[in-house]
Amino acid sequence: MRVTSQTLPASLTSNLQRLAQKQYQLQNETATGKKSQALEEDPRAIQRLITLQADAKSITQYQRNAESSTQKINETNTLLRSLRTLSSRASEIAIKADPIIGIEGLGNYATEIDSLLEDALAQANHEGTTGFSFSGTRSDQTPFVPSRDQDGRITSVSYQGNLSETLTDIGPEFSVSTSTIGENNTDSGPPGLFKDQRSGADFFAHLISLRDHLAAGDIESVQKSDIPAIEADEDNFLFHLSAAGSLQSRIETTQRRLSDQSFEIAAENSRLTDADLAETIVSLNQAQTAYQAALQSGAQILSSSLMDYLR
Amino acid sequence: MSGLYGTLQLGQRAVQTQRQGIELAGHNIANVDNPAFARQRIDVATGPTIISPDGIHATGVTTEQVQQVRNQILDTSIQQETSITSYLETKNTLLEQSKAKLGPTFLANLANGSGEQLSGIAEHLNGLFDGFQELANDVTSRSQRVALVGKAEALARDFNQVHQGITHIEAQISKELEASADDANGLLGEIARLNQSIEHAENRSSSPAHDLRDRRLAKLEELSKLANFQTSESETQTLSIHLDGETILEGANILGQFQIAIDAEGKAQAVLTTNDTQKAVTQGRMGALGSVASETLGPLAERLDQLASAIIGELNQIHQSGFGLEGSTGEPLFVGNNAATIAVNQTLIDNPDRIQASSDANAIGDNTILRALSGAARNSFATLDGQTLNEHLAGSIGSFVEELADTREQLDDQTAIQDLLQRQRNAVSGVSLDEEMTNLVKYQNAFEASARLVSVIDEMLQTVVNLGRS
Repeated sequence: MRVTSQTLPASLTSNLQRLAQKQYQLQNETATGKKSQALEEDPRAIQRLITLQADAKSITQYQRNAESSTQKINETNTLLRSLRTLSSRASEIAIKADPIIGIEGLGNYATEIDSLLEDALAQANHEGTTGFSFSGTRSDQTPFVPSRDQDGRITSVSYQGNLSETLTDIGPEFSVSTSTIGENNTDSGPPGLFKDQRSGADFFAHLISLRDHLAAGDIESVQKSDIPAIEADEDNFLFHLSAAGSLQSRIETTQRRLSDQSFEIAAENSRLTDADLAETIVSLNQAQTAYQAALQSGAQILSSSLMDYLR
Repeated sequence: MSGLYGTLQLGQRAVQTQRQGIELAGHNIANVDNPAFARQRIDVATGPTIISPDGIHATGVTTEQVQQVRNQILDTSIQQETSITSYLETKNTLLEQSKAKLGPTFLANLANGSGEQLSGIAEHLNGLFDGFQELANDVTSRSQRVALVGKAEALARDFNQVHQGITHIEAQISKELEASADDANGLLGEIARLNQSIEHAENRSSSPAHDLRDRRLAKLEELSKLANFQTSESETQTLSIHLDGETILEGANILGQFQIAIDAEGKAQAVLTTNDTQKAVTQGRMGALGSVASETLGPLAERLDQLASAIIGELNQIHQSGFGLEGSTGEPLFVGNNAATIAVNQTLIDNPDRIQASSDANAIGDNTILRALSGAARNSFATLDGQTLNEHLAGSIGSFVEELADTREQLDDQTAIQDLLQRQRNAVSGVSLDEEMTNLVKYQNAFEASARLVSVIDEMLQTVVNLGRS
């Protein structure tokens, strides 16, 4: 090929530009740790990355939901344990009730049961950060409203909530109920905590009955009807406690799975975006060497011509 | 033998020829950096032989012609490839500009070397669905309701910004198209004038008007950067320019004009208008401007409108069936119907309690609607070709980046072709200073020798003249 006076400068300029671009790209990758150029040239990687990052955000949200569910379950568990203690004490009093202790002693028991009843009502109307705990989705409604006699004693308790549960998504197509329904008088739907037709539980009514029987010295009714009724309430509380434990376990399993998924996504994300620093730095050194060689050889060739030898 | 006077004339012709050689070497050296210039060389031949009764007389050297070293095939190829290169360069520049303009909002920072964290529509779309979930965990929370409205506003704002960005780029393209059409028409005028000058010069002289032809070639190559066309030369060497069979220019006559037309999608396109016909400009800068407007930005805007419309339609349908904290119902979440007009319902901005999260008017703790809204992220939409919202967005971003990557790759290949052709033309037509300096020395020596011949003949003539005096 015939080499003219424009050939060398044009070729040198073009090569220097190419090498400078290469250095810019590699330096950028070294500085950011991200293979930016590769991303620009790989649309499929970008699409994959968008999906991955959307998945990552969903998983983070599911993890937050799981944490929130755990908090709610813990809150409910505390209340359930407290109610279980109440029911155990009520059961204990019912068993201890004996004509030997006399009408005064039975009256004292009745007073204690009344106190337990007030405690139970206070627990039933517990209001957490997201509203009342046992009113279903009518979380703005006080779940249990008492009727009182002229002495201020509770004579009955009516439920103001509903049977709907609040569900929380902790995975795609996977949700859990973190709410507990206060009362269910039907044969379907979620079990009620204080009153449940299927289990025979009716904690407030049973406590009222026990109190009244104790106050009246009606030991026979206490033994024949109140003790089995309170046991049914205890069993119902136990059922809810074990259900909460089981739910807690399911959530923990899901949290581990979400954590694994999050790790896998982070790894895939890194594979798609992170630069191999060792490889990048070696390539940068090569590009620098080539650039310097091009500059040096270009300067030598361009500075000499036939005119240097013509005088 | 031609005698002393004949030899003197021979010397004179030799001196003139060497002087012409030196002059041409100087012309070549002067144009060493002129890319439109093709080196010229002098064709010399033995002078005519004179036959007389005394015998055959040599007359030395004569200049036959000044020849320009050009390869017509290479020139035509470069002209055609320049159109393609310019098309790809312009397209690449426009796509890069679009990337810069829409980058953080539309491309989610991914194509800007970040890749660490999504931004723009992608981020805020995910953020909105997270917002539904956050509120579902605490339906009555005022702060979560305010946050959700903020997230919805951020998403709507992103759509508006991307739409404005596309509109702004399209407006720039229209302006550039008009400017390019003016430039192209100006070049047509210059080429027509050069055609006229070449015809005048060549009619008055037997030799070609090389320098004028160089200038015309440069103008043709400049025009090929703006539009695609073909050239032809008649037997009388009149140059014509054509586009898809339509003649734009013939000699000094301009028969067509580059103009801007609006296509069926309302996008500006460059066309060549002759008497009754319009031919689309498909290559060069004007071809690229039209192509990016109609084939890249147009479909992109359409896809974004589809996405915005799907979000508005689906989320509104779910939201409107719910109930707010105050029992309100039927309120849409978004208003508008496309990327340009999407906005959050002002009623919800003014009073986030009216976000309709519950499916039961009497149960404000119910989060069914919020969970359904959040679940819409996983729904496939018939209007989005069966894709989810995120898949559709990723597809739009991917298509844009793919086009950018394809264009860059094609441009790299095309630049290599263009460089190769330029190198080949440079090898044929380019000036070599070493060659010219060598020629200069050669012609200088020959000039000195020829001058010495004249000097010797002069001395001999003086000797002859002085013969009678002694």
